[in-house]
Amino acid sequence: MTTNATPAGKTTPAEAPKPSPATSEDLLLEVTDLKKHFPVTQGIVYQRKVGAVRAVDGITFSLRRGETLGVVGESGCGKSTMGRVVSRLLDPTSGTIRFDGRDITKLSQRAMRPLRKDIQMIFQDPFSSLNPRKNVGAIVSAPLHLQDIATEHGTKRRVQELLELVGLSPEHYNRYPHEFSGGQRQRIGIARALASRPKLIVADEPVSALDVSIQAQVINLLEDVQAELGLTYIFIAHDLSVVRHISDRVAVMYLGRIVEVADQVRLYEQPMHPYTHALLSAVPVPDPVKEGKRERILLYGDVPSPLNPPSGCRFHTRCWKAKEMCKTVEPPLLTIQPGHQVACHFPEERTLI
Amino acid sequence: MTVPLEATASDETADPEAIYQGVGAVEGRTPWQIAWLRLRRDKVAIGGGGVILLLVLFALLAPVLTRLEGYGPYVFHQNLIDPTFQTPLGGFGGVSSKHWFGVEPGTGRDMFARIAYGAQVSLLIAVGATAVSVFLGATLGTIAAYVGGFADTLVSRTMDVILAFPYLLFALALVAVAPDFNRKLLLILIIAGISWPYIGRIIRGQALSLREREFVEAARSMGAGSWYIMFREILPNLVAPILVYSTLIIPTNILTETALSFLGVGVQPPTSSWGEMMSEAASGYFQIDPAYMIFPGGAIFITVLAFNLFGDGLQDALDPRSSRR
Repeated sequence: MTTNATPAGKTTPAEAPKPSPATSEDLLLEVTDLKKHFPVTQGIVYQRKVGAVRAVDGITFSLRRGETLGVVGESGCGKSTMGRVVSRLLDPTSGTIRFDGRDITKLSQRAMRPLRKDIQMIFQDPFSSLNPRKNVGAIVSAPLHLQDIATEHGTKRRVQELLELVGLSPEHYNRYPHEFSGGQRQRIGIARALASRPKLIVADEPVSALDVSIQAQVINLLEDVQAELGLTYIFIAHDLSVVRHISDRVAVMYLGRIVEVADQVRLYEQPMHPYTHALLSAVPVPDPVKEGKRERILLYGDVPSPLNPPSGCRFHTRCWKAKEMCKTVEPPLLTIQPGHQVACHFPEERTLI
Repeated sequence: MTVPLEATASDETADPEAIYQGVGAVEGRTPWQIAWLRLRRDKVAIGGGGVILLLVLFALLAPVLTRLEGYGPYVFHQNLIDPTFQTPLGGFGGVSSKHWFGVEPGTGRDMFARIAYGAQVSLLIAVGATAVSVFLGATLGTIAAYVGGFADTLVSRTMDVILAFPYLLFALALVAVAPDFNRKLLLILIIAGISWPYIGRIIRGQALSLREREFVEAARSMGAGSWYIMFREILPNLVAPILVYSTLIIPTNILTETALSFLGVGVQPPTSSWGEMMSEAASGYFQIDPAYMIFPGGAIFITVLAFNLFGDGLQDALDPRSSRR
């Protein structure tokens, strides 16, 4: 399921990037023009709204069943906020989210509750995402209790099956989080996310807090359970190589917007957006000869404030190709090649890795 | 705050490698077991805890103990009182093998029995008031922190107002005004009413930091409601500060009850309480019969000290970051 999604996008040019009505059956998630603005207020008694942090500012993407969408970008580009809005932990400011054929944008937190078993999250910090006062059994079985999910052989048996699935011993049932290492804790978090048999898992930097050898284990585990249970992932990370390994498609975000989406092979081998070029040129290549010859693109300055994003193309303040037009006209996310969308006035193909 | 990392590192039975390879059934330790191990090493705290246990036993067994001695708390012994000075006959307040703590001046009632029954009253009021104030403080503090907004403003400002009151005057006025349905219950409610903001503030502060932790978000993403998150996810993490502040509030409440009884609005005669005895002694007897003040005063001193030492030790044991071992 995961493997044929990638070549399908690349080899059959006939397939439209925007889903035709026939394929919309396969779409698990459709996000249209999603925005999340955090109000900035001033004043003590009367809180006057003086501005808004445009953390997510109009993003559109869709996700097929069984697919993994990697989301990359600098710190503060809104990727984590996007994950939390999609899973409705935060309320969107505008836009629509269709999950499994149903519009969940406007559902209240209460109405959302039964749906939460289908959308689960894996969190970044395994030391903070597990309640230190609960044992593993209570943590992993919480979704079962909260969603009233009946289990065939009892909750304990199900939890122990889940622990085995993520590579922990069933004997760990009565242990507390402090007795585990970071990688093991992340496995507990994954077991918890899997407990309610979700359809979509939003993984928010699930391996960023782990050291490299453990990262590989956890990523392989995520791939294994995806193959086994037919899961769909939104995989948020800032590590490009990790995203390349696990994703079918990759979206690059900059300052609250998606600047480029393509399937994994295309994005890494023929990136079109200058920001993607810059990101990829920063990835070290484990070959000193190649590394020495490689072209480095250095970006100057910081990411502009999402309080007051630049006009036109948001990247123009740091882009070496920026022309007058970039300052005034915002580039739409256009399909350049089937399955490859870029938001740039002057896209060009470039090989960087 | 509740992840005892150092404790894990020194935990020789839970070798991380052994867990990783899933070797055998390695016994794990709950956070409570670790706290108990740390507490057990603290001799002073264990001493304080032992004294507390003895005091509770002393209060509970008051009827048995007084029968053992042979005199009830309300029986007058005029024959043991010097008719001129109204002081007990014999040295040190009339201490003898029959009356272990001597007798009360004026009436000749047995002091041991009165101290024992007074312990019941003092501990009941102090523990009862603590229970009510901890319940109020923990519930309202958690709600204020988690719900935020108007609820937070309401609870926080209420706490500020109560803390700004001169509590003793306030309590005096309240006891005087309130209908006298059950003096002990009234005292419990009034003492709780003035002491809950102390614990409420601490709980609110802790809950504010806990609600930003990812496990709260994780609970929401699993479909948990606000009540579940507040009382099943956040509050269990606050049991440690709640326990510590309870043991530290109990002695304060004993002193408050003593102060109120001393000022004449505590339990009513003939019921005895330590504060009431102190008050009687202070009304002039203590110059000619110091033992009358020393026994209840000593009881209060020992109780308050024991609770404070135990509370301090508990705090160190439950907080893995504390330097004192």
